[in-house]
Amino acid sequence: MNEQELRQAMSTLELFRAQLESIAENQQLIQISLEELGRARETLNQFQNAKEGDELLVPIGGNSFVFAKVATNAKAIVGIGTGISVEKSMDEAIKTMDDRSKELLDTMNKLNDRRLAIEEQANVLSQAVQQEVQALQRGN
Amino acid sequence: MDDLSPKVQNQIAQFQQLQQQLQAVLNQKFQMDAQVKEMARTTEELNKSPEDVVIYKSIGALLIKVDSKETILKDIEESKETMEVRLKSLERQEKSLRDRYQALQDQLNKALSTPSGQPLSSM
Repeated sequence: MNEQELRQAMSTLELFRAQLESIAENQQLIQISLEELGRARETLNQFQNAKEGDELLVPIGGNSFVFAKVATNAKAIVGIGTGISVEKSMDEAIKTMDDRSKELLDTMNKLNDRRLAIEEQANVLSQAVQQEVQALQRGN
Repeated sequence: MDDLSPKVQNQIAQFQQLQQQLQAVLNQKFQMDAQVKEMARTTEELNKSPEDVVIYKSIGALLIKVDSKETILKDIEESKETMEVRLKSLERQEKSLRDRYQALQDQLNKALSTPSGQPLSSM
């Protein structure tokens, strides 16, 4: 490795570090979304057991609730992106949550594979750089 | 850093500035790209829905019922087209910045490899 190659290797290592950081951030966001989808799915599932007219308490934040009554347990409104939501039957709404969770899990697995590949490349390069630096220091 | 010639110091400053600009453009591009994909997904979902599907549009924290599926689809298509034009312009900007970045990187590598350049151990 000449000096230029060594410099290049060090900047590649820095790039790997930034990529790993970004992957970790994305994985954290995906984990949060997965938990949210899980909660929504469970709520929709339980809501199917509610009867029309049943009283329920709706959280409004600040640890406060207002009284409401079940208008229907047969349908729910689901966001489909770009600020648009559509009415879906309860089964469809639950399926949407499941489909989204599956997509997120797929992405999570792909990110994991990518993380492992980058970590491996970084380890190999890091060892090569370390050996080269030690050799240079011995030479000085 | 003090050992470097003013010219190289200037180039390093320019290089760092370019890096920041490139990062900003990439961030904007990423966000816009995500929005375009989201719009395509919404359109696909709406097209799959039955004609009499009940649609709501969010206005702040409220959901307002929308009368026509066609109007919503048209609105999304228009926004998507606008966004795609902006995305193309960002791509041009990215290319130009990348070219300058590469050229400056080559110049710096050359300058730093010469004996008057920065010694490697201080990097």
